[in-house]
Amino acid sequence: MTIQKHGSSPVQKNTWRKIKNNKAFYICIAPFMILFLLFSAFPIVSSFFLGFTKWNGAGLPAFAGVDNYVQLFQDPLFLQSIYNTIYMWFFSTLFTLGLAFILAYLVNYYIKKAKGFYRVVFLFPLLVAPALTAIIISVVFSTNSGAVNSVISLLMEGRFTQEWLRSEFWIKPLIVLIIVWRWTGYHFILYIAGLQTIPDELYEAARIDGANPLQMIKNITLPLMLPIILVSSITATVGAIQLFDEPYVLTDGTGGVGNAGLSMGMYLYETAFEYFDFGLAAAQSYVLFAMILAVTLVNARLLRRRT
Amino acid sequence: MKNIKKYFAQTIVFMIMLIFIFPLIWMFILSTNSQPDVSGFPPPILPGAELVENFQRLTDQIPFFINLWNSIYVGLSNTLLILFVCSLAAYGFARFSQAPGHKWFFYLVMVAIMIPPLAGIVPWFLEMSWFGWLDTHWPLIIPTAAYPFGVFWMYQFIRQAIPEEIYESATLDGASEFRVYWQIVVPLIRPGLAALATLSFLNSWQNFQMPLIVLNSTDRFTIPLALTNLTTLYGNDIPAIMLGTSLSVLPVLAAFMLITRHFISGLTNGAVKS
Repeated sequence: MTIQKHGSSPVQKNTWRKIKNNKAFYICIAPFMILFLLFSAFPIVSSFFLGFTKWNGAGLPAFAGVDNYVQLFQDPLFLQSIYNTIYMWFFSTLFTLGLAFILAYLVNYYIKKAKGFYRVVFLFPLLVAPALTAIIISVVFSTNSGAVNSVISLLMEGRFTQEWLRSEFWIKPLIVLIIVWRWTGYHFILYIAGLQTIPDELYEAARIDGANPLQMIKNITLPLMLPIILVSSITATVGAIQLFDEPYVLTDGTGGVGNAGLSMGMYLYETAFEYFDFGLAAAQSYVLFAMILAVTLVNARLLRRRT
Repeated sequence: MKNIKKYFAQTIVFMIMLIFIFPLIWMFILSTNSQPDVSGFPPPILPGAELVENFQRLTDQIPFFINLWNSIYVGLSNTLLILFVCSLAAYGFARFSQAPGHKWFFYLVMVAIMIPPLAGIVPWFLEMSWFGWLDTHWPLIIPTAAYPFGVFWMYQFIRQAIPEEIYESATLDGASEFRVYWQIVVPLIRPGLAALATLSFLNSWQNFQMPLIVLNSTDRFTIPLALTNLTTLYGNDIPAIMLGTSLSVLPVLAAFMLITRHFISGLTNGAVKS
């Protein structure tokens, strides 16, 4: 008869032995896990708690309950930054994915020789840092000798001097334009890869049944491409909610006239690193986090329903 | 009829392509013209002869080569670290599926892929300040080395490229787990590593927000930060700004042309597979 000592039941012993036998596993994942816990997990968890305090970095954070969140949703500027972000997210995603899809469709079905060439060229803007794409576009749209104003001037035979960058209306479309310019190539390549998996026989059969091209797109191409479109829309959405570089550089860190270009990411940056209101900034970052989480969960549901 | 449709489609794609590359071409053109020409009307549409003068002003206004070196040095160290950390973790996950906790650690990686970096930005910044890392390059090199997508992707690659039997026979031969990683796994996953490397380097090269938050001295600025700073300080000197932008884009474009295949698979693999 054996007497089991406290704390070393056979099951536990077994687990310990397994852990010991797999020592290499823990050593292999250790560098990643340590860096991840230290620089991602810990900041995100502590950000949650920081959101319930008032703190400017000196002394200790003072507990403030939900004051930060109340303050945020009464702050017209914060609400405006949410509106701006949603506006820019919606239109940039719509136009990027739409244009990418049209391009991929045309290139895949109508262009044989230059396919590789287009795949390379449409990716060029992606190679330019977002901050630099903003600089380039601001030069293209500059007031006195920007390319756009110059072309319009020549067309209407007079000087056209629209101040795009100082316009409360145009700053958001400009930011949308930068995002579309930068990201269309990426989604274009995803869609080309997706279109190539659709067998030609499907179109052939539809043609025999007398379907027109639009019907074929609606009933064959789009349904089969839906999983990829979902993936690319979530990539675009998660990126757009965190939008920072483009509006920051385009408006020189100010948010533009009437804060029309102020994104949530920019407002968070201002709160944290210009006003040093760390508690409020942490609360802002959690509103942002919640939005991304919601999008991710909705997307996961949609994907699961499809498969 | 079919041909007309085809030419129509080709023309549309070609026109859109021209619009897409126009800003880049114009950037090169402006960088070679003089300041009065560029701010006059109509602006130049052909390359000029002022490249050297523009370059002189660029390097007078900002320490361009130091900034360029900072970007290269940060990008390379960050990339090497990512390759090592992520492929080692991926090897662990691919080989030791029987290890206790394997499932949970792997879930953690999958969840980590979804986490937006902005969510923890405030405590992250405070951490950097506690470590005494503000105004140094460490925050741009070390924290991003834990790149969850990189682990996930290398894991898929290793599972595909390396059959289980290799591990078994290596164990029979008495090779240690780490020798297997270094001498068998790493050479076999080189294409995957190359694609991950291009992606990581590009991420680092284009990073703007993190350097903006942690760096203060112009001597430590990376390229995107240096050029936006130049725009703020000398906004009228468009040729110099465009030249700096061109010079920071050119090496990437050149490298991209050399490794298009790796690059495109690096961009699309994760998305299309999942």
